[in-house]
Amino acid sequence: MPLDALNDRSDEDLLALYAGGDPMAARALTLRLTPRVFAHAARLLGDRAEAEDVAQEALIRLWKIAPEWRMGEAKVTTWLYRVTANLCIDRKRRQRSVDLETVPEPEDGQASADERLQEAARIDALQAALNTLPDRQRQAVVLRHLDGLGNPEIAEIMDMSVRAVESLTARGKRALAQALAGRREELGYEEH
Amino acid sequence: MKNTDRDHAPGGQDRRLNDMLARARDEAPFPSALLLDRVMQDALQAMPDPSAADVSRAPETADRRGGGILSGLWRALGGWPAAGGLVAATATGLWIGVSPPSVLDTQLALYFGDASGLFSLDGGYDLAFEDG
Repeated sequence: MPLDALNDRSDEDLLALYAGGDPMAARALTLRLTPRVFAHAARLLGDRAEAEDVAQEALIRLWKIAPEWRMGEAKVTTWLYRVTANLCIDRKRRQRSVDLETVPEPEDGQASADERLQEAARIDALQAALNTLPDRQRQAVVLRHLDGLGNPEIAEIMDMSVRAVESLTARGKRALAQALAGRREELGYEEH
Repeated sequence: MKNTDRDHAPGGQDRRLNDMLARARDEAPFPSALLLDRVMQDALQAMPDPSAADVSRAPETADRRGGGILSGLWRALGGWPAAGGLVAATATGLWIGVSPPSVLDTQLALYFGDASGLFSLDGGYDLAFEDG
């Protein structure tokens, strides 16, 4: 089946085709899911190399489970986000936490002149602040505010109630704001 | 870019954080081509092979049929598809024997000579072979 014809198929349909030995379904799933899994892992870990390993491992698990996948029971992405988060948490436990202060600061004078540098500095600072959150808070904030998922799906991924997700996300955002408060001026948010 | 923040209240802090989250969402980390290639290779390597799956299921199917020596021989000879061909060939041969087409008579006569002489009971049999 041509790749274009697969673009409108759901992840679950593609996985069934893959389980039936369709290499075009393998390609379509790779191109569709790898960016999402990698981005999620990178935001949870704050490390591209580690995120690449996690993304590859999460997808290997998907390929292996494909023949036993039961249609209609869960979304492929929900399952993948859960597996990815678990792999990330395992890795985080093995690595030292990154201190917010270790993120390179923009050089004086250059930051105001170069918007892209400042933009990158803000994203780096946000990532560093995310890294300081407890695992579950970070996962909830990333799923809600960076991956753009709704609370019901997050609740399913994290195996908790929607109300608990709302509470966790709110606490995560407060903690993020607190972690970033000391860097407001350096990141270009001037006070008057 | 400098953002002017006149608001010291929590609302201003929320706006700054929402702004950073929105920008981070727009600039999602993208996987390298190398990672995409690795994932694709993994996918192809782990992809089930439908023909291999049929072979692996075959013994299970045979067991469910309660196969013995005769049923094993039956399957070895090709089972029902092969039997169909065999029946068709047998029926055709029988039909030709019972009611041979006229062209066959002509061809046999040309090859063996007069068929009535060949099977004659009055000594024509020996004569036919002596004539070679």
